Amino acid sequence: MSPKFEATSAVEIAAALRVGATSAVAIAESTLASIARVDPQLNCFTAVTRERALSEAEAIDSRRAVGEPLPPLAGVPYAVKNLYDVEGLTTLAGSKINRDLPPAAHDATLVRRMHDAGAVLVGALNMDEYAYGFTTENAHYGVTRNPHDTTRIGGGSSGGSGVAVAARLVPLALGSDTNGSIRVPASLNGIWGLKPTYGRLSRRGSFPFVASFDHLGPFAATLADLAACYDVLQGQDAEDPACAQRPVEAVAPVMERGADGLRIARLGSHFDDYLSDAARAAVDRVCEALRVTRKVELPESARARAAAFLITASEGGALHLPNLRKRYEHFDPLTRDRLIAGAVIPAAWYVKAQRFRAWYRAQVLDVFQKVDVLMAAATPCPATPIGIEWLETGGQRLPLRPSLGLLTQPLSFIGLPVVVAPLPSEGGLPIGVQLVAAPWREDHCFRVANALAVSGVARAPMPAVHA
Amino acid sequence: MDSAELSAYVDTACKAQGLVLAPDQRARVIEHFTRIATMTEAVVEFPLGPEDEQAPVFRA
Repeated sequence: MSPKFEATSAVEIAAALRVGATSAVAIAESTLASIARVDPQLNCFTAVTRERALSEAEAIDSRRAVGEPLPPLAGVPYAVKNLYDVEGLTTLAGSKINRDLPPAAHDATLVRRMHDAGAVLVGALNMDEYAYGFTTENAHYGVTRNPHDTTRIGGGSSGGSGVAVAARLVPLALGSDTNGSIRVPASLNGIWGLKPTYGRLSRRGSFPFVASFDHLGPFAATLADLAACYDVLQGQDAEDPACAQRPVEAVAPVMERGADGLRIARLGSHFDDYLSDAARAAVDRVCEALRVTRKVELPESARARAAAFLITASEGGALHLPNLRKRYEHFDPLTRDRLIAGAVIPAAWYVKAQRFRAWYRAQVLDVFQKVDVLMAAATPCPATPIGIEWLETGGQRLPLRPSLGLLTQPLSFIGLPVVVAPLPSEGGLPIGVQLVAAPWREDHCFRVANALAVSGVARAPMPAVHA
Repeated sequence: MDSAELSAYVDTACKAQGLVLAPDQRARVIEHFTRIATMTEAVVEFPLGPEDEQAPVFRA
């Protein structure tokens, strides 16, 4: 009676439940069994919320039994990066220090919205400590491994989220993106990811990193699932001062319009300079599929990336300064010295970076007068081996860990919405392409993404290790 | 700042912030700070006018 969960998407699970083809409890149990069987190879989960999952699933089955209409994600299992508050769990944010905090008294707003949409929370997911990294090589909770090749990284900082979805342990996961932490793991694991416009989704009940860059968003293995999840997450929240007072602007009903009528261009210069052959080939394939020949420059994008790097270091260092003074040895070695370096950045540098940010934002908004969607690779290269320090790409030798965000940072720096479309490669590792739109035009990102999904150019390949 | 000046700045700033660094820790912090300083040159040298205001100005 129960369809094997891992063969179905979130949208299909919800549809199957609505017609009584399966039960939410059966799906939850199947998911929990898959996690127990597969996760030891990948290390995505830092907590499995078995009791809550079964309780939420039973509630859905009870509602169906009495003929209540079911919400849009009824019975759909999902998991969250462990910087989201989950009632009764301590919000680790990838750290050892946060273990000393009391359990969260309430769910984060987005967890509550998933609950209200009928989704079933199955656990919390690994990440870089305090979201300061792109590799999820966490000293406290271990490395999260790429399901396409377990000797390679799954990206970060939302590495557990990206890997759990790619491995089909859950159809949906939530993550956060300050400088690329949704887009990098989406790219390296070959799945869909969304970093919405800054201020679109409430961040209440999530552990901060860089307040003026922090975004929350979803991952999915299909574009329809990504849209369905994003649509239930939207809405105002007076408890997040950065959350915009905008109505829900659903993308699922409009994305099937496709790319017709949209002005699309490829990003050049900074977004072209560091590409591996695989990344360049991915952007070429997308351009060919969409018949895009136009190239556009975002002025001073390399400087924008530098300014984002500086502001991140400064705000992140300031946030953690009290613990850096008292509990240095309890931080992850990969983050603590960077945080200290950031904490002593001169104010004059930080102010200049913020003023540059305002200038850059105005320049980029002007570009969107002439174009609707911009495209660029999400990462300079596919997933790299665990533990390596240097990246050689585009004829340059770069420190790997900060450089995985080279192509994402100039975009989150000014809060633009981005969908990452996954591109499989023959016998190789997947890589993602960013579809970037003007503020509040997530619909444009989704329309182009849908054109790529329908054409078959973009899809989430099944990895070697999966449920 | 040259490398000696950067190191001296890190030592002074860390002391002022109440951060006590062991020698190996100090070397790593200086390495990270030097990377930030190198990247920052491109931002600091960029010409901006007085109209490039960082405050979130209400215009309507």
